[in-house]
Amino acid sequence: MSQQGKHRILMVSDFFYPNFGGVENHIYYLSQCLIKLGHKVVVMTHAYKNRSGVRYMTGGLKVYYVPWKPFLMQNTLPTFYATLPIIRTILIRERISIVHGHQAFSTLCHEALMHARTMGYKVVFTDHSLYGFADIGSIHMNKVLQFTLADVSQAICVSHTSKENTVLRSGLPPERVFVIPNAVDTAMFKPAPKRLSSDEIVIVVISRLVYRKGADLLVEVIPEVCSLHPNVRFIIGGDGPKRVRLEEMREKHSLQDRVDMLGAVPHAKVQSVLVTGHIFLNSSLTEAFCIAILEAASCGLLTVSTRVGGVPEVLPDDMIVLAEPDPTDMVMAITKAIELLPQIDPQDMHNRMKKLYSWHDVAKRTEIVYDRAFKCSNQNLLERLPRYLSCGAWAGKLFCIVMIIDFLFWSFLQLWQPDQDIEVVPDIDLTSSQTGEEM
Amino acid sequence: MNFLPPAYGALQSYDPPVLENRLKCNDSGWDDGFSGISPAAFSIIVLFTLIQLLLRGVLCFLAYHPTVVENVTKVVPLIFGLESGYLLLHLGGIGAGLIRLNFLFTMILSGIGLKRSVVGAAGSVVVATGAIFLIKVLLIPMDSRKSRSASPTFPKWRKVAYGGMQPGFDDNHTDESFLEDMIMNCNVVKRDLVKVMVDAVSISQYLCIVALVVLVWTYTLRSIFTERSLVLLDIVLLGAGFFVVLLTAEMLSFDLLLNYVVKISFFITGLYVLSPIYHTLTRSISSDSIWALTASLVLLHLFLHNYSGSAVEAPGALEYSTFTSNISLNASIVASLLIASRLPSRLHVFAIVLFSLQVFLFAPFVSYCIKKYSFRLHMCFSLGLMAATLFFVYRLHRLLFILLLGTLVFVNLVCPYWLIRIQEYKFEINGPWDEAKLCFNIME
Repeated sequence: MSQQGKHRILMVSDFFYPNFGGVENHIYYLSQCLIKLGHKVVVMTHAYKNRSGVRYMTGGLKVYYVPWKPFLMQNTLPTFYATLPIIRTILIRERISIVHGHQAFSTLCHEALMHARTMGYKVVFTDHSLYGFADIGSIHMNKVLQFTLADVSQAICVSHTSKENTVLRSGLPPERVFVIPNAVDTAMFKPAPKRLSSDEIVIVVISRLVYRKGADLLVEVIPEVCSLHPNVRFIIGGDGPKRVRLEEMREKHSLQDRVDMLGAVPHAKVQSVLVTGHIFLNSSLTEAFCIAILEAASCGLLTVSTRVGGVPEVLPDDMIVLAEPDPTDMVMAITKAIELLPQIDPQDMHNRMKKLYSWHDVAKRTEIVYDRAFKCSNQNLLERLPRYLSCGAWAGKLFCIVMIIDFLFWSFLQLWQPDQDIEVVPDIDLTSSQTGEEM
Repeated sequence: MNFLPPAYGALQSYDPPVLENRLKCNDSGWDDGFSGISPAAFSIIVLFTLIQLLLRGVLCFLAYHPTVVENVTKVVPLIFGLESGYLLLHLGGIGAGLIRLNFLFTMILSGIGLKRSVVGAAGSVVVATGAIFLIKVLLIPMDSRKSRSASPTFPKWRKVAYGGMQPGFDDNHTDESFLEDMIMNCNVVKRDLVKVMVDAVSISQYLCIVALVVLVWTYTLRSIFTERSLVLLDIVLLGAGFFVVLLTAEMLSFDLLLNYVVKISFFITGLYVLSPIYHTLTRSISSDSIWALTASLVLLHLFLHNYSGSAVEAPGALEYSTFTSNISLNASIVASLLIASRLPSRLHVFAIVLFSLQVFLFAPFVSYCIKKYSFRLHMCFSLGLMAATLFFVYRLHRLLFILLLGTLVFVNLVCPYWLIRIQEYKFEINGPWDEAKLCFNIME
């Protein structure tokens, strides 16, 4: 640890800008707020197309785009040991004290956490997603997660449901799993300055049009709602394999003038789409947290959502109408929302959201987790191996072998290039100069 | 018994940590959210109490005057009630503000010229109040006061993500609502040993059919069966198959039957025309390779075969099952074509390939029809088939007989028992994190 309880944090994930999604957003905002709290934050991700090397973002956030190419859905190829040299160099160069990995799908995150533990760093892991227990893919992922979390100092989940899920998947004691939700940038998601007329009710849907986001539910729900309420219009933003089905539905029920399909909406334009509507409809079949709901509520929209995963925890009961993931129940929920609509004041809702969610609050709570992780005792390899051994009859032994080889590789690297030979990066305080300019 | 799933271990270890953690959270929650009474506030309270006592004492002294004794009886109960109310409030820990109010009240009473005796009586009660309050402040330990006043100040912990950190609770707070929505083993079907055994008969039946086909191949290769008898066998089988389908099918129109006949006649003609090609197609491959390949292809066929229904018309079968059963069917056809190249004449080739295709393509369909028509008939047919196969294999080769018998026993007796045994290790977890299932069919 460096001066007066401030940490030097390395955020690791395969998912970061220019890619876009909940995890990317989370890492960016969390890092920015941690920098404001006086910590040093460095982000590590893989190279995106020709974006490779070191970049600086707002507020002096340093990003290492490690030159590993993604092979599937923005994930790097699992290599086990190939990333150790570069991760070691970054850890030493930046004098990191805590490594914070994000998202269970990210292979880079798993590898970085493994190497960081081998090198004796404290690690924190944030799980952003939910996983079942039944199919082969989940069983494999759960085993990998168990391996990573076997020796993690502290873990963070984005909702209570996600915490339950992570505890079951990894066998981690529940008191080591913290619940710190996502937040929303309320300054970016403001309601429309003028209140929309209520003659025509606009329902907005913004999501990727895939099975897991419940695009098939939309296909059933939209014609039903349109026939029940003649003054309702839909705006659908997003693209995906299910778009064809939605378009077919629109043709079949001749709703071309009442259902707008915008295609993919870039994140910067989401707000301008949201403010044109009264009600936000989320039809996901599984969701750990759902930032989209927060963004909609922050824009003053009343939300109708399926009751899945962590969604019921996200908003107070008077700001959301929940329904089972079943077309008839969803149509009823939309009807209820339309009745509730006159009582909703977008500006009031926006002000409430300001109080309910803030990234600064998230950063402060994450800071507590870092403090706790930092206080964990240091353990050598032999003390840590039993944790891996208890992961399973076969898997436990495999995990141990993986860790021992990693340790040997690390020892070899220390001989090959001693720690003191690696140049340390001087700290440049970009935040203070920037705020100075602003003032 | 160490085969328990990982989550099971986690589950077992819940209860004590949850409880422990809850207690711990309650303690540490105090330090985080509400810091209790600070030393400054504490000394102010004591100071106020002391001043109050002093003033009350003075008032008491003034009130003790002989002329006011007769009026005391009327007002004392009222004052006494008020004062004891304050006393209770003090005990409830509401704090210094009320003491000040109390003091003000007394001062006003004396100021507006009420009978001094009243004031005196009030004063005497308040002396007691002050004393009790002092005792309370000084003697009751800090911690117990904290926990008593914690309950009204903090709302209960809620399972929500909004509103920031909940006052008094850490982010890793875990209470009894943790995992309350988890459902264990809700879809597990309790299996019955006898039923599983009876179901396994279908598998052994098909094993026997394949064994019989291999027997026919062997006898043909040894030139025990002539081409004439083979063609006769084909015709008999085709007739028998049609007869069974006619007998068992519920709705079979003349058109459908005609359709079947036309298709099969095309099929047979095609096969007859192509048989010279099949005869020479794989001739250049050495016999050893042919035997090895055929054996492995037959094994592959058996391994991937869809035993649950018929390969020809699998109603409502899943996509992957039709995929594997296609591979299985192809493996069997390739195996019969490989065998065809070792036969002496074209008519042999035609007869053998037609026979194999008939069996591999239609036997599952026919046995499915029989099973649907009458379960008893299916059992009789299967058992008869098994006995016949065992008899023929016994005549061919002893070792093969033992192998087949062993396989049948394994499939019919050992496997069902094994399945029932490992059922108790089944551990299924469902909860709010599962992907919701759509209650309607998606028509693509």
